Amino acid sequence: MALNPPRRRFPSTGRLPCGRSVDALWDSVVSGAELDHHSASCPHCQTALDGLRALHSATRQLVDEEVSAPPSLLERVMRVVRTEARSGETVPLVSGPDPARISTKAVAAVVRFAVDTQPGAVLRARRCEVHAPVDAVDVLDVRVEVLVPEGYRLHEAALRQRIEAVVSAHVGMRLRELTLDVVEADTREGAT
Amino acid sequence: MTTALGGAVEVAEGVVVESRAIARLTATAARSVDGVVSLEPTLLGFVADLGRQLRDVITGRDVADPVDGIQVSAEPAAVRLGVALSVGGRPAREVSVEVSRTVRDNVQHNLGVRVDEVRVTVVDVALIPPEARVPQQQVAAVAP
Amino acid sequence: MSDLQQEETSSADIDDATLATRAADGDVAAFEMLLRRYQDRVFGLALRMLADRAEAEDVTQEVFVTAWRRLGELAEPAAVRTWLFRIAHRQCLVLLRKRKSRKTEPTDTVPETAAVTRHDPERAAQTGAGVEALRKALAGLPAPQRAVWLLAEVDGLSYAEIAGVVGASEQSVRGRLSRARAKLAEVMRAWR
Repeated sequence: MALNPPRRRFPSTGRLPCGRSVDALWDSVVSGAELDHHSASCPHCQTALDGLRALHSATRQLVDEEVSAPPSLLERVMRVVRTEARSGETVPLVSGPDPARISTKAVAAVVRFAVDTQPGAVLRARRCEVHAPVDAVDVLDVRVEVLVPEGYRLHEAALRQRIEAVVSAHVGMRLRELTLDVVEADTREGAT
Repeated sequence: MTTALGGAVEVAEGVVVESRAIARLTATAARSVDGVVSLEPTLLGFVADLGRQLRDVITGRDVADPVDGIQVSAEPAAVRLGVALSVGGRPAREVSVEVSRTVRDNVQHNLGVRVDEVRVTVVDVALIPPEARVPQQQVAAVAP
Repeated sequence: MSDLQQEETSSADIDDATLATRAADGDVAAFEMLLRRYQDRVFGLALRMLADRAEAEDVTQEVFVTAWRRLGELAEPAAVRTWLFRIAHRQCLVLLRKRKSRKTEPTDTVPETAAVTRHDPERAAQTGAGVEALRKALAGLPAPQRAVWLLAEVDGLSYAEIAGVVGASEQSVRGRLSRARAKLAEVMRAWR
């Protein structure tokens, strides 16, 4: 197949010798609109339309093809991600001759889980910071951003209670300070 | 020296226990504790064999090893152990305490190796549905 | 007990901005949801840019590992989708340049036709001849035009989004798309 035929019927200016633009013809192919008097009889337009119609139909087939990433890809990527996530910051979990530490990311995930699954509410936890206070042992300071639906009145005390209970059940530590940054959802967000 | 693969500890005159054996026993003991979901290789644990391991992580080939997540620092007559793990279904704190105790007991009694320290790092908390685990009341009963 | 309860949280209803914010914060589960949501789209773009499954797989893996490491730099978390396309686009162009220098191809006019012969023949048999002709025609386009065409026609991105992905002005995106369309139509007409 000649990719560069000697005579270009689609000049790079985007205009056919008759003055019509290729883009305008393309729009008519896509919309299925009836051709105007000129294009219906102009040989330049007809030639161009042949190609554009063939392109349009092939494009639709191409778009309809199901393309799936190979199943092994997810596992390979997640392996790297998990390994890197583990090398992150930790806070003391147990002190003494056999000390234990816990990753701040792991604690943050527990906090987010508590927020997301708060019964009777549609809350979403976003940023979550976990710190070990320097002047206290066996407790953590947590700050979490909570996204609430527009106009929703958050029952803060109930959410605090739940976060504390879930952290206690999964981590086994108490929270010294728990800061909730409540953000109202912007309904335009995520509408991509 | 810190390694998961080389090194050894002299437990008595002429009696040497290899680090790898200590690592294996540590892994088995840690896995036996309720609430331990898995032992986890960390980038830190790869230091011993950085080039190969990192490449394997990137290419995604299986690098599962019986001593993934275990670090053994062999000193002339004692060891310091590091255990990195994921927990779930039970408070991480309780699990960590029990892992340290179980590992320490096993290594000291079964291999005769003195354990100076067991450091536990919880890298992940699996949010496991309770029906897949033993009830919490039973868990509380075995907790120290 | 109820604190350990895993309640039904469907990933489908968590918006991109929330997932991207959490993933940037080191939340592995949130990153996995993003990966599941967009791996096929990214793989599809790479496959059609490169016409080589193994290379498309490598690029897709690289895109998501890069995304994981650099999510913190993403200023607008809601735009994570186009950001992923941007990384993919860049990686594809880098790979095509490498491929070109490796092969020391003589001209610029037929840059990646060699890749077409490596295209999965099974797939070719399953799909229509029109799509195969289009694939060949696509391989004959300069990579920047091919990218713009794919992003517009297959992924349905707006001019503004494509401009962000390829790092060009909207004006130049329109120009590239128009030229790509004209060339493709010409080849498709000849094929018919």
